[in-house]
Amino acid sequence: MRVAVIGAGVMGLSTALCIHEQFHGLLPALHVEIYADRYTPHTTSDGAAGLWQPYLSDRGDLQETVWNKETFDYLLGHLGSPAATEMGLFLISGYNLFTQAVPDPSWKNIVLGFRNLTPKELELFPGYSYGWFNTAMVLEGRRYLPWLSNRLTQRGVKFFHKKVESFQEVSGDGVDVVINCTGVRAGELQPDPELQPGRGQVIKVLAPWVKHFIITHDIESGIYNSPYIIPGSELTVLGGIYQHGNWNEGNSAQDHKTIWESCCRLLPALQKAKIVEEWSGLRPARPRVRLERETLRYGHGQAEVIHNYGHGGFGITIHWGCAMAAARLFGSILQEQRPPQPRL
Amino acid sequence: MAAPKVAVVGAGVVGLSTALCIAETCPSCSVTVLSDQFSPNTTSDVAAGMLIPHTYPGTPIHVQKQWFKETFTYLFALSNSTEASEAGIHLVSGWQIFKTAPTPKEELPFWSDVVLGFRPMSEAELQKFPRHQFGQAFTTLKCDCPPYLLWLEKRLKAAGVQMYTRKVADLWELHSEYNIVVNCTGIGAHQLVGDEKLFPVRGQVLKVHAPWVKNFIRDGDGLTYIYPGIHRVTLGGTREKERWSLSPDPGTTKDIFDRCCSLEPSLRGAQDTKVKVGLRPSRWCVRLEREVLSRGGVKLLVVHNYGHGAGGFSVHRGTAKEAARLVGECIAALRGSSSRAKL
Repeated sequence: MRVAVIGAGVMGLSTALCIHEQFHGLLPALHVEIYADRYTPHTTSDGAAGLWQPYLSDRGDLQETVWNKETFDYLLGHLGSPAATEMGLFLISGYNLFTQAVPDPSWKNIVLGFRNLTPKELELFPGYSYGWFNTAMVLEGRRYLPWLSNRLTQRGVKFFHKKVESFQEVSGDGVDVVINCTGVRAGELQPDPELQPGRGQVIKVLAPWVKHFIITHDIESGIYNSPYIIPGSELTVLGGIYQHGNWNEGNSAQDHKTIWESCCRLLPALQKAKIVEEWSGLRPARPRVRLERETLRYGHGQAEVIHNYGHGGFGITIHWGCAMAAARLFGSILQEQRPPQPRL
Repeated sequence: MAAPKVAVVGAGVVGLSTALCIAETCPSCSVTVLSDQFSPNTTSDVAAGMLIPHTYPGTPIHVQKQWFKETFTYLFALSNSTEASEAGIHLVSGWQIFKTAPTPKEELPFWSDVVLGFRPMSEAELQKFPRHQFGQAFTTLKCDCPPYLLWLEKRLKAAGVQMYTRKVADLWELHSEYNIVVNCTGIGAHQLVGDEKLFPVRGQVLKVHAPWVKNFIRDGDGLTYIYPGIHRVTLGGTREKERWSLSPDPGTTKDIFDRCCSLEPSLRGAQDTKVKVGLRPSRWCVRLEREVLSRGGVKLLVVHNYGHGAGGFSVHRGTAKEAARLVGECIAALRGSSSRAKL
């Protein structure tokens, strides 16, 4: 059984690991291969701050809320393990700020210690009149992806540095299942008008005195278009840019100014922080995550494809739930391919 | 009377903040700080600087609460200013956990409405600590040292306060140069003024590099704690009464590390451990009062501000303000007696 995973961001690597963990013992031979033109530290997942936090509204998608919860619980279970630091995983508390009262989010019972902000806490954030406090986790892409890669290498998974131009390219060669984790560029393999880049830019600074995440929300501007501050294990990520449909991966001076000024206004102490890095990335935005099977028929052959892309700005938040769902789809493919049992 | 000359003896958090309060409230005073140790060699430099009060059995609770509130308010404003990182002041959230549920009286400490967001921990939060039954979650402030002491020194210099390294063996040494002496010598007061009620409570701590630790964890017994600072995490600790040794104890180091790792396993990966020892200047109550010393017809006005034990950072600004107020009383008394002398 040969499985080709296209894409080596958080989705590709975690899906590969999940499938290998679950099915390696059950199949006589399971060969998993990863194909990608970009590996850590050059993937979208590497630039993300890595805060576990879904969007405010689940858009009615209970499925995604379940996957978010599965990911949170999975990560929480790893916190006490020796691997946690190597994974780039740690607990963090912080603030979500609003200019008006809002309904509680779908994830309020998933995170730890969710509560409203007290008036005294709100004094810290002039201009914001309402907010939440909770404890969640950060999973840093820059550490998690190498950790995943090590686990995969230990399991004998092979990595190929290659830009895949079509599904046929990988599926024709004796590959039984293709897992499509190509993120924002999935449209190059199969047109998907629902998939758009949600361009983001971040400034990474040295501000080790900041121990909380602070996410502001401007209901009118939309998600991530309002300043946010997310401490990592070494650098603190400043952001607040979301440009739908913008494919530009270069840094913009205007966006830099927007981020810097708005974050310093939010947290005056940042003015003394040293800027270390700047990065732009394209969130693979889609109204819903595409996580489904597809049988592609072409020429003489067919390919079983499992799509797992379109996780917008919540990829890290939802990744393990999606990896497990993809693994279940893989399981159903195996089930179908089993020769019929003889009946005595 | 010429500008009153005030000597503040001691350059830990209490001495420096007291000198600053005096300079702020009495601009005409000439204030000098004298100490045999300055940062990074004071007791304050060893402490984590967490604003979690220690309860003094001999001080009325409402007074302690007032001191804490004043300190918290002062530092809260500082934490939200552009000077925060230089002053080493930052907010930190976390948990205080108990192996057995506290009595109803203990459940709400007197300071619970001063810190931010104080509430009992949820069941889900307690799952992280299987050996603990109960806990409290809140957000408070931390004063990192040396930065905070260095920032105080900078403010003092800007206010025209002189600072000298000098070992004062007897307060009377100062009577010819100064009108008022403010005694902020911490554990040094045991010898300096012979205060038998003052005793050391030895604390050994580890300062480690573990920048992924963003929350504090404190066992309610006060013995085991994890306090993340700007660059290092302070792991503690010990509370050894009447022990004067400033030498780190290797067995204790291992014990502290193990206790902290059992609360936060990721600390096993911590790097670059530095071991420090401090002697908490402990006393039944903080000695915050005036005293007039007499010797051969000569008077020396003294204001004492020492004995803050484990709670120095938590109440420093409140006690500094009170000490400055007492200095004001001393100045009034001096002016009163000097005008009487003129008649």
